[in-house]
Amino acid sequence: MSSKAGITKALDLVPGRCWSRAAAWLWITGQADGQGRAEVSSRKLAAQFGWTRAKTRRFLDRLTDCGLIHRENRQTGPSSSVATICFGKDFPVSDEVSGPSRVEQAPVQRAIRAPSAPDKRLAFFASLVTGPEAVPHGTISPVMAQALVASGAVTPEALRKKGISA
Amino acid sequence: MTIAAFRKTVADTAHFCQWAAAAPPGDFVVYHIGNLGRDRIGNAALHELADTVLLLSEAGFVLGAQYPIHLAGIAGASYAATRTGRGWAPQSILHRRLTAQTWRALNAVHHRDSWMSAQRSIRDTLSCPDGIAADILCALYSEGWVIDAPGKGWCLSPTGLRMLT
Repeated sequence: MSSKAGITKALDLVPGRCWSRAAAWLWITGQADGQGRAEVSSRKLAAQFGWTRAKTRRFLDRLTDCGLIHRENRQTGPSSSVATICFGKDFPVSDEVSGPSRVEQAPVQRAIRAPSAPDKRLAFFASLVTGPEAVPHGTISPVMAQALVASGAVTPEALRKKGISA
Repeated sequence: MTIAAFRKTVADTAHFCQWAAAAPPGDFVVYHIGNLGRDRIGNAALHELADTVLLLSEAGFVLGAQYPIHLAGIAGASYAATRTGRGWAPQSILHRRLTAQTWRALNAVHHRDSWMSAQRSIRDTLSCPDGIAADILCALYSEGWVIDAPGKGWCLSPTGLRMLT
């Protein structure tokens, strides 16, 4: 899910309804590209936030005054302009474009694909238990642990050593 | 209905099976008081007991019923099983050689359609994930109740068939 969609879904925001200023700020930060820039028009922002254009303009002015953003206005028509918003260094930009350099990502655990045939499945999990590597928690279900012991493939002690309860 | 009849309760699955094996038709027992659906969560013994009652009631051996309790401070029901005098009960269940869940798994493997895999039939019968269904099939295999029949896939061994009856 993109950060923009994630923000609107997480905060239960409906475009066109009157948003809070905090929600509007979050949404704007979600628009930023990899360089911390977002190109927006005050008309579209007003429609998105459910605000008047005057309120939107005042909000952007306030953000500018507080030093949170810098604006580079570009006239696109007789009554419309597009503002490129440059965020300060202290604000995170969208992680979908900034990549793992900004966000510390957890190591992805490789999924274990066990065979489904009972004989091969038993042999597979028995090799996991008797092998030198640690068995991730939840890999072997209690039912499978009992089956391993019942088949004689592993001993209860071997299961206990791996932290698995039969 | 006498006070003595109200007192007739069972504590666990073994006690219930003992009662079911010897009860005359019309005899009944209360196996739980409270909210069974809620109470059985996290209570393996009660879950197994309720599952056994359900299995025997499906087979027509007992009649399961619940009666609302309207007493001050008690919101729930009493869950009773009445011996019907008809139906049948697997001997492996009555003699506690199998749990109701294992019996259902064996039954699912034995009576599945020819196009359906054993794992899938267990999954659909017990409403469990694929991985757990595969583990249950492994457990049946390790007990020697399921064997690989050439050309037929996984099916019940003679021992497994005996456990089913």
